Amino acid sequence: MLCLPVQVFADISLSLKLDRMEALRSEGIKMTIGVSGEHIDSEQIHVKGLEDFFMNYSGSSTQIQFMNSVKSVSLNYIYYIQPKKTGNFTIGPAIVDIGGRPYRSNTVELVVKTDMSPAEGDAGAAPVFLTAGLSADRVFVGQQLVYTLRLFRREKVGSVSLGLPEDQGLVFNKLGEPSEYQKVVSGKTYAVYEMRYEFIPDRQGILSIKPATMSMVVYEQTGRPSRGLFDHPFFSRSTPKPMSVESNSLELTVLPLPEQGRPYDYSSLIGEFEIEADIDPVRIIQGQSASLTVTVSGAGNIQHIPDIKLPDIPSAKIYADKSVMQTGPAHSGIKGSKTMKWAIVPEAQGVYEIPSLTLNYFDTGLEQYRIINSEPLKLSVDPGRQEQTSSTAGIGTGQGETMVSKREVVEIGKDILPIHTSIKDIRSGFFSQPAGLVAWLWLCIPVLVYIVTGLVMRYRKKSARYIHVSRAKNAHRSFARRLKDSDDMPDRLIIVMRDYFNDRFNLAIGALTPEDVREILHENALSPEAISLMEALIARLLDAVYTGSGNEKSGLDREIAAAIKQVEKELR
Amino acid sequence: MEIEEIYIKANQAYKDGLYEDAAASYLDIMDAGGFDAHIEYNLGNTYYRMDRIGLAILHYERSKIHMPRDADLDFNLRYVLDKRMDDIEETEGFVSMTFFWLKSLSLAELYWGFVGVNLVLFLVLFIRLFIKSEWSYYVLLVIIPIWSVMALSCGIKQYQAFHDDRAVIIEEEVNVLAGPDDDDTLLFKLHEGSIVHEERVEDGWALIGFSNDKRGWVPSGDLERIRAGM
Repeated sequence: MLCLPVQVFADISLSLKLDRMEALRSEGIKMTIGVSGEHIDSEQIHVKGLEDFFMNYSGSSTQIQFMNSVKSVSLNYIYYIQPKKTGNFTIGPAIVDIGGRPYRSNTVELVVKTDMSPAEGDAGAAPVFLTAGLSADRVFVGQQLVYTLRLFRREKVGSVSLGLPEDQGLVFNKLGEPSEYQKVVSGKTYAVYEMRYEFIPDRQGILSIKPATMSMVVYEQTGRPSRGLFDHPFFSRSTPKPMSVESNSLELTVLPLPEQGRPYDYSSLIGEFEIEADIDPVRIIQGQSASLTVTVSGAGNIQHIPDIKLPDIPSAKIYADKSVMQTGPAHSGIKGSKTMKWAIVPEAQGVYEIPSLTLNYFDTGLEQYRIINSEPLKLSVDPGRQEQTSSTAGIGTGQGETMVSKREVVEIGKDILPIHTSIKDIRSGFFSQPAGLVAWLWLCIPVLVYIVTGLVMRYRKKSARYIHVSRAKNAHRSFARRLKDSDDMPDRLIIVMRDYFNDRFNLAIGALTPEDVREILHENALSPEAISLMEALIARLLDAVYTGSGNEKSGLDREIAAAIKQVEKELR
Repeated sequence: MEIEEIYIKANQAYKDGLYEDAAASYLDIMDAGGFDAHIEYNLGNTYYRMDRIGLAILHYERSKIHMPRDADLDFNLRYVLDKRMDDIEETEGFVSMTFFWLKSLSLAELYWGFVGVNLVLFLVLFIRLFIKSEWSYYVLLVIIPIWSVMALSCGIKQYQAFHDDRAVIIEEEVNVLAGPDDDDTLLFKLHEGSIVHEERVEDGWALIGFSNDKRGWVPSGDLERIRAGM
């Protein structure tokens, strides 16, 4: 363990990162310890796993943020560590103790090798080259391994595209984010861009993995390198040159899983795994529930971790919860865990035995099948507490109180709701939408009814007005015809005159009098002469009718015709 | 056998754990009687029990088109969506956010609501052809905005239904390729239950997408449209 003096903070979080997961013994690895939170004081931070490393402090960077008037500070401490020996190491966690409470960071795996990879050694002095490597050259069918591509470059590159050798049916899954670091090859310093992929061979035999290719634009320096403010190919004096590089091809031996020792219920899990079980709490009261958590963790084909079947526990109800899978990249591929939980509700008091749970898998390290077991557990159930009631008599009132202890409702299980079984659910009713023309008819019929009714009413109004106009227009013609039929008889003539006035002026006079004639003609702005003439004619006709000479010809028909003509002329 | 008899038989098969038989019976009812939201819901439950998350989500989504407020359906759909492997978030457009009530109403409900409001509006206008009263004027002032909103809602819902190209991945894992050919570059993988947009289909391949930068081709048999044939 190593102690480092750093500034730490209340409500802190710690992180630990290395710039790569694999290195040579002669190489320095960049270690970054990130600390963030609110500043309080300087404390000691302890980092485990650095006993076999030399360490040099490189520097630190600080970032301060104010959010909602709360200050938050992030510090990154950068160290370069160099291994003293080869092997597999676990660096971390970084631990700081504040107020008696330890804060821990993550751990990181590092593999230190001693021999330089032949592919990298042969690369010579090329400014850009690509290497490929496998985490193993001999694996079993279904075993995961890591395919690592490293782009070495001494020039700036851009517009990079990668072609993986997937045409042979191989499927490469990216493992984490690429890392960048520097490395010396053949006495020259290269910037290395490392990409890691996981893949699982699905058939046995000798598998030849074709080279991966990378196409890019390389910016070759021409003349003096630019010392401008922006260190970017656009601003520097460099010539862009398209280039494709190919990695080395690889050969992989894929062995079939052995038949010998294969459990009859083999889970198809391959890798290295462990199983843990825990019950919480270990002591409960009858009626309460305890939570059993089983975690299977390791590295390999994590997705194939089966759901562990919990055997029945007599006198206890068991409710399974949804399992939770967590995965993340590791040096050897993907590692992760599957956590399964059950709520156990004992029905009686006593001690319940949770049996050991079994998992089988093919251990790629030992190259044999293994059966692992969790520890058996015990759950103690005490008798249920009686409901405590106490009554206290209020003085003078005789009232009492009952106290009942309440418990929070705890979700024990989760599942979908049941199917719908009512017959009336499937009887299609009125409430389905009609299709096509019928749908439009439902909408358009009220509109059409309204429009048609409106048009009809408008037409009738016009028609009523039109009748009056037509009647007035034809009044003179009708008068002329009736005048002829009257035979110049005064009693008929007075009726003809009355009808003329009714038609011409849209009236309904029963008996025409000189006063009516004066009023009507005066209203229509006729000349006084015409009015007097018409008035006199009517008076003479009435006189002839009422003095008994209505049956004798009046001799007024021509005068009347001329007077009406005058009226028509003036009305126009 | 009558549809109701098949329905009762299918429900019994489900309760007895004979999920294959139950699914077959529900599908027979659908073939005979056309679409029904409750049958689709029951089919969703059945496929979930058969561990076919993709088909469960497909049938739940189909049921939701006609039964958007059913509490059982909402619960089950959210529960099953939570079991998907891929994290794909469906974003809402501006229109969907503005007309937020459209999610809670089916097209049939909107249509009949609009028919009712339309009827009331033109009835009042019809009355005003004969009697121009004050009360009818105020009724019009209230009905016209309601009618306008209903018309717009109905129109938008119909448009959304017509342009709904959502599809559900029904295979356990599908490779999404750069082109409609087995030899094309593998872009990414999708898993059962993911909801994508099926942009077009060519020669047994479907072009799918679910965000601005995630598009690719999959065999058209690996996914199924939510609104196929509706």
